[in-house]
Amino acid sequence: MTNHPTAERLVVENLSKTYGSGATAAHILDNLNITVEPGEFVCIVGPSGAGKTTLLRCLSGLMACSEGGVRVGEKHVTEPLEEIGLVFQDYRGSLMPWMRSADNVALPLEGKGVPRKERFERAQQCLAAVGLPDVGDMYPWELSGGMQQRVAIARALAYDARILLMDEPFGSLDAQTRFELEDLILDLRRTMGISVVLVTHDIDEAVYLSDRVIVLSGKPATVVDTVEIDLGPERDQIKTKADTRFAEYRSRILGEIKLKKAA
Amino acid sequence: MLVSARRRAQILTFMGALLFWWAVTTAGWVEPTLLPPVQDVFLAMFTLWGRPEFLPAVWLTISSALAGLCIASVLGIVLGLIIGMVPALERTTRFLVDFGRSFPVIALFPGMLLLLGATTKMVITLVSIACFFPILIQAIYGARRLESTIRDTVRCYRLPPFLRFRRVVLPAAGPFIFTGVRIAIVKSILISFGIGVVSPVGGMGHELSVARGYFETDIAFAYAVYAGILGISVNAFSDIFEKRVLNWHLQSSGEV
Repeated sequence: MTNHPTAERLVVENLSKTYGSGATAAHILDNLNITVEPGEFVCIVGPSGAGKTTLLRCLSGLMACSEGGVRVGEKHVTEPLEEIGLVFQDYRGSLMPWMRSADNVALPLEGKGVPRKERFERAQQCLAAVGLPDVGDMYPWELSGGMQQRVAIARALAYDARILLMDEPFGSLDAQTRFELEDLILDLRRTMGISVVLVTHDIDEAVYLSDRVIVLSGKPATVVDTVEIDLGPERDQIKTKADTRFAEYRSRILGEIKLKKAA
Repeated sequence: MLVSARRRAQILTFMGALLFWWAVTTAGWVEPTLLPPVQDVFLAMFTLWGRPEFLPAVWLTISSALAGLCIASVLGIVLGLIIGMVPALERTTRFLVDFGRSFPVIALFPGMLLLLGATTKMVITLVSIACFFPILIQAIYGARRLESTIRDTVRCYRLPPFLRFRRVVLPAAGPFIFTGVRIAIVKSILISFGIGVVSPVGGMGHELSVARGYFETDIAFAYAVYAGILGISVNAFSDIFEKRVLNWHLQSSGEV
């Protein structure tokens, strides 16, 4: 992979989001302030319907904020930026079924005007980086769900995204595949120095992956807690999850989500 | 085993229909000038190969249908996808498109005949008009139906408009467009053949009409049978085309 520009800081300032207006207006997000440092891994957890996906769409520039805003470095996010790569839960829908895997990975580079030969070398490197060096010629429907999601991650890497936004990326995968992909994404974060913002409703996953967990709850959703996860840079599916601090973080976050729901 | 049993039943039904045809004509229930005996039509199908006008007529019918279909496809696909990609355009053109689709193309025939005469150009024009609307409508529909995740992906990775059109919208709409083309193919043969029956533009339809004029009913029927065979072959050809070009769709939607 080529030399990367340094990752930029992602800043969310006083972000609010309301759908519609007048009597039917739905206030989803209320005055959120979040900062993601370069290279940091941040998970956003919250009960379903809390507005996690809405927040991620605002971060990616796919959706406009009602108030406040999002910055990447010095740039204001008003539309998708080239620093940002997005990975969806619905990998089946986000890969183009009429293109081979390598074409899917190389497509965003074609938009950037990268020459053909270079595009495919890059696609091949990125597919290798996600552990799929041999599937370039295969169509998405010839791959398992986990492999398809790996291809989607490779596409974000090929695009040279410095900030990876992931919306429940492992939500529709089986447990074993999910663990493999969690470790893959931790690995990529470390080797490539990218920042990751991952939205999930799975508290275990959030604690396992994060440097910091942001707990979103209520209607409209606010940041009810920010939990620094002090489990060190190396994580292990067995050891980390057996750590007593892991259990403490987990109970704390679960308590906050439940408490807010009861209130 | 199931397929072959079904196939066998289909062949038997077909043979049964021929047998019925043979029976009514042999029994003398119908006038032979109205419905010639099946064996006469069968022989006439061979006789036709010896006639100098036969192959040029077949070629004219096919080439007119094909030319009209090509013009309609290019215009229909490009315009349809553009209209489908721009919601405002889709809303404003909706009535016009609905009107054009419901309009019977044969009503344009007298006007076209005056304007262009009994020419191949006139046939091609009418075929194009008839084929344009089903392709246009399916292309609009296909472009509108682009899945929301694909839409987001395209926006997130900032694909420029032409690339988006060529690599995403066009292939995504492919299965829908193909449905339109399928309808159009049938129409193209119908119009190309039918215009020949009612005006001296040449082609199989015209030869059928001439044969009928000479009371060569068996020859006229032979032309009709060849028109049917033509229709079936074109359909079979479009099936093969679909399997090759839209294999990804058949595979990923589990229709294989």
